[in-house]
Amino acid sequence: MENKSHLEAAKLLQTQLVHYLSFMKTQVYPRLQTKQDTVARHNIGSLFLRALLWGEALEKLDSAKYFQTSASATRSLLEICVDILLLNRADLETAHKYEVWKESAILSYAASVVNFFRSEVKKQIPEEFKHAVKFYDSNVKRIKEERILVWGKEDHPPRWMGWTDMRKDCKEIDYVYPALSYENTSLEEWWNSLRRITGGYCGGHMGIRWLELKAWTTRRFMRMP
Amino acid sequence: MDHKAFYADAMISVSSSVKLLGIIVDATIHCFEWADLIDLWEERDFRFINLLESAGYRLEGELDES
Repeated sequence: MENKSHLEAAKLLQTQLVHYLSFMKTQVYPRLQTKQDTVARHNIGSLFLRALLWGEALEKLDSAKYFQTSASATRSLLEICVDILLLNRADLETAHKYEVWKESAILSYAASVVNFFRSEVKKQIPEEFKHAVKFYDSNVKRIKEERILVWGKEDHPPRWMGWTDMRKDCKEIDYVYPALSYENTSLEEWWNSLRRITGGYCGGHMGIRWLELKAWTTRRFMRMP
Repeated sequence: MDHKAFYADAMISVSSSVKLLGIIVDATIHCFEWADLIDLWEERDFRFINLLESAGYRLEGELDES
């Protein structure tokens, strides 16, 4: 960041982040508990809190060498943003899908635990996993039936709207909120442009393959003495 | 890819995150129908659309030129 304008841009971003977080903490957060009267509001409140915590984590990062954490935050915030915008449609079917998906995700985890201990290694289930097995045994039939009702199949879908690609979620949002502007593009295009960063760094392979060794060892980059 | 490119990516990542936080606040206020907060949010001019065009994306352009 040798160039002065880069520094100015970075300071501007930092200022904006601090203002946003201040607004979120002092104005929005105290009100969340007082008006969770619908399923959508309850879930949006939870998602908002997760976004606030990501924002606070971002605020702590003080060097470009933390680009992987930053990319993870961007990816997570994008997913939170997509979920909040979809839930904002306020129709009961969407809110119900989200609720079913949350339980479905827990069952998916519990099923992998059960499968590992009962089928693969054939060992007694350790104490720390018994809660997952109990959840599986008590809920597998009901949740699989709900999956069929909501998404037409008994497997856990990768995305709660039912498809596998978040790009389709973005497309849906572009359709529902045509007036929203992200970078003077559609959300779908913005998502596509961010995939190089969010997908690459979060996956890890880009950070290792693309960054030359000499960049890692640059004193300025690593803030070495 | 050298460390300068990572600075640029870090900037794009942070600027996108800040903008996403802005959208999240917008959408949350909208969902809860807090009319007074909508006014406050707009009065403070924290809207996400303007600022970032002169930050992350400008940086990327400057790096291309150099």
